[in-house]
Amino acid sequence: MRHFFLLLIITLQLLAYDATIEIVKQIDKKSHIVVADCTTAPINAIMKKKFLKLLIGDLKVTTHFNVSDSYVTLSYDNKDDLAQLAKENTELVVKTKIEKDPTGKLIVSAKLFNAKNMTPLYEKFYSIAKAERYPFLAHRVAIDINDFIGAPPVDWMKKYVIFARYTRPGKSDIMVSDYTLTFKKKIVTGGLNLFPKWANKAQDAFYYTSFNGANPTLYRVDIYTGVKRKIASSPGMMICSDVSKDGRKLLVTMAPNDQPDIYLLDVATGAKRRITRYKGIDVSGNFVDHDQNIVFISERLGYPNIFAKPLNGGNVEQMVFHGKNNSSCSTFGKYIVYSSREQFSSFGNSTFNLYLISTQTDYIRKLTTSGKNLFPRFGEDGETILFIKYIDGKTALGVLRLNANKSFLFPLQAGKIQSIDW
Amino acid sequence: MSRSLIFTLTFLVLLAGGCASKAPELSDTSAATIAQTSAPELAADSQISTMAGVDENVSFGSVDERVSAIGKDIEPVYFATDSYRISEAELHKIDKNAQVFNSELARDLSIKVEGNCDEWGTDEYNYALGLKRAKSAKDALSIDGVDEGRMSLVSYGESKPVCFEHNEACWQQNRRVDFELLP
Repeated sequence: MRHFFLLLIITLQLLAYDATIEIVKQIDKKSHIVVADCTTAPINAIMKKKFLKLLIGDLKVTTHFNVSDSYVTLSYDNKDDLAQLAKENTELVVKTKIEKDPTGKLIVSAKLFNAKNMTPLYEKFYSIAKAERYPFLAHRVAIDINDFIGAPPVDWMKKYVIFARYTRPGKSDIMVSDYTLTFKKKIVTGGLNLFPKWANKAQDAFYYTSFNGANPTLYRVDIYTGVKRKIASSPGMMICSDVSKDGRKLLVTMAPNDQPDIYLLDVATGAKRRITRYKGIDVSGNFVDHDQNIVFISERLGYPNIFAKPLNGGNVEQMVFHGKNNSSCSTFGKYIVYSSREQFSSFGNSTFNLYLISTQTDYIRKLTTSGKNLFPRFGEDGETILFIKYIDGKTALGVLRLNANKSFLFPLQAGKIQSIDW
Repeated sequence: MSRSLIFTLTFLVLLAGGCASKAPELSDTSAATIAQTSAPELAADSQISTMAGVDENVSFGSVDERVSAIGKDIEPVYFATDSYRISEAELHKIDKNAQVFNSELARDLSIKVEGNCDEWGTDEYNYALGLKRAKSAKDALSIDGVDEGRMSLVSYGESKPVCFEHNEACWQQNRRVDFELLP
């Protein structure tokens, strides 16, 4: 009996093991893949080159392949031209062909081969009405190849990223882009417009704050019709921090009495309920636990840190016990990723690094090691984090793949990213 | 001297005395006249006190011109990193600004108190920090007698830098509260 209880205790300890602790060391099992250019139609050469580069980049970002950077041209319909690649230990070849149909629609044909036995694995066709949106075709090709080999899905690659970009003092645009910033479209221009937030998973509408009137005002915009609706306004501050899963409620930061606090706003009725009451700063509420609780930023301990509280009454609980300046966070299930200011000196540069913690255990994992890494946002898969990185005076969109512990950066050439959502 | 001469002289003296006796009657009028005559001299002395009229003689073509003229006397207030406390060194600016806001020229104008931050941080917290800075300035002005009802607050976070370099001196210039006068 004693042995049984001992065994039971050991088993329970193992079950409590936190997945964030595990450092994945695995034998390199990734397939070696080559992207081949099989385009013969008179397609814009620059666009074609960018498409191929994007597809190669996408496959790398999945972290599930060893991707060749070589530029390879093959015949789309000839399956016997893979022998040389097979000799070079290539396992997969994706032949891509770009064409335009008579209506101007862009069509990409993609055929995946097992290079070893030169067997076609599948063929798919992708089309898009507006050629400028070709990056999304590349992303879809990569998503399907990834799915085919049975790797964890990377559907987030096809999502829109929405961000605010400072163009000059007091001026900003709101842009919609793909995750690599290759495709970009201005959606809101004129004046100072910040903190865009998708209204739903379908990404057909978003919220943003306009500073162009007497008071900061929250608007909702339909991205397909352009219809804009005023949601709420407040002196001082008015920002949508998070949207509930059903899209009916918002966590907003408002300051109707010059005091920044978190409110729960009912989109349909406009009714607002104050959630925090601390006399200092309470901002950035995030829904968690099936929208029953919130995680937020507060300086109630004298410095910005991360706390949680139930939406309906209950005490405030400190969530992070590391760092002295944790001013931005995002949640996914039991995990919180946050940005922590470090190495602060009045006469030198600070760094902001990203950390991942579990709310269930004490473990903490450092995700970045240098530079200024801000505004982390979990992707829908919980394994990918989007963030803003400052490099050499410019900003970049960062994509961090948690399982592979790798980051990829996509610089913004003009302007400075202020806030992001996806 | 003949008697007639003496009589004549006496008569003349009496006549002069009679005239003189009328003087008091006349002197009432004269005093009033004197007083009236003196008043302009006093007014001339007190032109200093009517220097206020000099201001009134300054006219602005528009409210915007007045706002622009007054604005030159207003100073921004600066803050330490991560702080929304007004330091002792900056309080004199609050006092000076309060005098400007309560002056005759500015008394009918409202005041927008704008909080700003340096480039370190871009999330909501930075904007809230800017708002708290604006609030601190508003509270301090209120203590100095500026009507709270005239003041509105807004935070621009790091969106309106006045300095673009990446050093402490520049960041200090951006950690500030600005004041804008509005009609």
